[in-house]
Amino acid sequence: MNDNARKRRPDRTFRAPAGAPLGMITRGSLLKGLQLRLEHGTTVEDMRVGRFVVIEGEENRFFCLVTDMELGASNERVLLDPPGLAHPLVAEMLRDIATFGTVAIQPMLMLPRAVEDEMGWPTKAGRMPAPPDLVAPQLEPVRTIPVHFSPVYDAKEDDFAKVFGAEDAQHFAIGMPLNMDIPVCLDLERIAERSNGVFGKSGTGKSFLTRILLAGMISRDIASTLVFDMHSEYGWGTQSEEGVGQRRVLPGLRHLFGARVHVYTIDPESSRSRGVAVDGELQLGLNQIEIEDIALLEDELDFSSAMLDSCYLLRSMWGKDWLHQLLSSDPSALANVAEGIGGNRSSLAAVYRKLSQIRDMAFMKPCLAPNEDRVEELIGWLERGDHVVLEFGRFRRPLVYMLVANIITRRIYDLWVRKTESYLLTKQAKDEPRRLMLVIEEAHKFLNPRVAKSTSFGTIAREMRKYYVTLLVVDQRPSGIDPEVASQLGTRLTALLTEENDIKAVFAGMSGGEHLKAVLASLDSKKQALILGHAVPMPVVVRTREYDDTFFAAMKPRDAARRATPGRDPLADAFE
Amino acid sequence: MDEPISAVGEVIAVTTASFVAQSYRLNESPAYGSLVLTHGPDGRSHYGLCSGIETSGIEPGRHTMAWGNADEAAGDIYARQPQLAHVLRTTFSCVVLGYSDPDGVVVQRMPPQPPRVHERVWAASRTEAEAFFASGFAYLRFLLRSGVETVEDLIAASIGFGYHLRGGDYAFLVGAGRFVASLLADDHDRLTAVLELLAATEEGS
Repeated sequence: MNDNARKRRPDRTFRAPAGAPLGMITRGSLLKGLQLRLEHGTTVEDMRVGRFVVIEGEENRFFCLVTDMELGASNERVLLDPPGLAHPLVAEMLRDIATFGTVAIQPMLMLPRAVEDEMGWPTKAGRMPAPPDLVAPQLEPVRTIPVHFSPVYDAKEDDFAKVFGAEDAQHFAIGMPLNMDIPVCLDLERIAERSNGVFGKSGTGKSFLTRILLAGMISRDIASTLVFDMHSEYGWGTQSEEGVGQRRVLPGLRHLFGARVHVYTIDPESSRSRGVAVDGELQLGLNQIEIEDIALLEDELDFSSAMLDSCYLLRSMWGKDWLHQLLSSDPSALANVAEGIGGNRSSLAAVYRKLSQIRDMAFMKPCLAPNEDRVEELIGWLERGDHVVLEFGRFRRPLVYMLVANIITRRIYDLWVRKTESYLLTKQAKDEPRRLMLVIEEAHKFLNPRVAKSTSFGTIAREMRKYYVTLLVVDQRPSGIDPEVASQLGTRLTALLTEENDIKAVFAGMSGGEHLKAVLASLDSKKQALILGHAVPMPVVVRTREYDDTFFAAMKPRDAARRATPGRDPLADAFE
Repeated sequence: MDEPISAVGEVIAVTTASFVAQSYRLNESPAYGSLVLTHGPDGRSHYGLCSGIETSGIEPGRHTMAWGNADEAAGDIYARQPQLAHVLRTTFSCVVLGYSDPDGVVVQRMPPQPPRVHERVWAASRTEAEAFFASGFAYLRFLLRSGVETVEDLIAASIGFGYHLRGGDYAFLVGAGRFVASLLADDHDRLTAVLELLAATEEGS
């Protein structure tokens, strides 16, 4: 190019990354997303919903997600009179000119080019190294859109690294993008800051996703975790779901992290029959049950509000020990009791009958002396920064699960509130409470709109962030969760969901969520998840990290990894 | 090597965008849709595309009458009536498609000057035709606005000419078809007409 020509037209060629563009931006808006018209040679079938693409605008680069695709025609007549199968040549000539594919993409983040040049993007002078502190913070929310005909490229490794960072003490690789083998990292600090959700239909890998996330939290020592393990799958081994023929036992958190993870159970018999050791058997006393716990079980116990009223009357008569007193009464004496509290006799009989099933639970003692109380010990581990998995063994009924989880959580709640308040008073670093993440399954039962306001779980989800306690809710029916709680969830990791209401619920309280519905509905039924929210700079679809030997090796603490003999099966190490 | 060829005719009328030439031999003209060239004294050659062929009496206003009758035996009428060659003439009209300067670079663009009357017209040699088709499909735009009545056939014929010239080059055919598709995006019927002719060209080859 001669000097005159350069004066007339700026040379922008250095901006274009290698490789042919997928197409160019032809229309769109900030609110509704942009439209990418595919270049000849790229068809809609080459694209995938959820793919990460980059737009090279004039002044900014835009990081975007593919959300939808459409077939277009420049002239309706082509569609009325299609070339047909008899004329493949004609169809080929018309492709991308008279008929073409358009792809809807949603810009998620942008990076002003001036910053990017500093960050080490290719410049005329060659590639400059990026100052390390200049990376992620320069990404901005999208406040503009690219100019007409800006070229669109597939995201490269560089782009992923810019947006999702690399693994370090705070960032943890949760998986890989759909079309590339590089890590997508979660910001674990941000996970610990708020309550989060793991969603997905049954069998889509929720528990694997949860386990991987927990392993990340534990290995990076970000927060203590307490898992209410309904199906006894987090502590010791769990069966892989790779089809019946190849089932094998995968190591649980206890295997991976040894004594830092304490396994408790309320069903020692089940632990014995599965041949796993537990650190403690948990027993609860009827004197620890409060009316709030019973109110939570309204559905499970089929309790009416009149029955709940009877409970309040009983408590005012007998005090803290009311439940024990009631259940140890002879049924024939109920008439007198009813008279004594001025309640309805048949209602009291129903209360007696329904609450009897609580008394009959094997781990439930009439009255638990303080020295038998293992809950104290369990919470002590959490305070000291360790992790606890509470197995429920054969007690998989929601009734038991909810009762036990609620009793323990209420105590944690009270303790952490006290600790936080004293910390606020002293402002000493040593008094700062340890961050704690509670993992609950079947979360919609605790957090449905009727009970969410009264349970400690609802309170934790809404405001316990300030008191260093957050929830990780694992659920297959997010639509059952109180919208007020759902909208407070910071980060959502969601595997495939197909039910319309569930999909809506996942996006509750997230701007731009409606664009991602198609992405969510198109996930594979296994090992894929959409991650959105606080812990990732932009929503992203990942292939979940494999829960395999490589992962186990990566989770080992540094010194243990050094000790491991080279060439040995890391799984064997993990089982030691 | 190009085979030596002789001139096929001579320019007898020009406009900016087209010219008419008379064949040196009666009933012999370049094929419809084929490329022709005129070579000017300044070294500039003009490319034209044969867009119409006409044979008629040399005297304007005088109608040509039928010579034979229904029972006449077969045989070439021109052999039996040699004077016909002197009272009839064949002319062909050409759309100007571009030009090449002495350096041989072909530009598909209106030439600053049209060919001059009485310049001789040559069928394009293989090299010249290949150079022309290598310079793109912009010429199809000239054909569309040339006002030739049979423009769909002309476009298909010229693309077919290039396709056969390049030894049945499928990519060339598709590329040309795609160019036509973008030119005629608003006129589906004409587009379909051209593309189906092109499809027939490919099947027929």
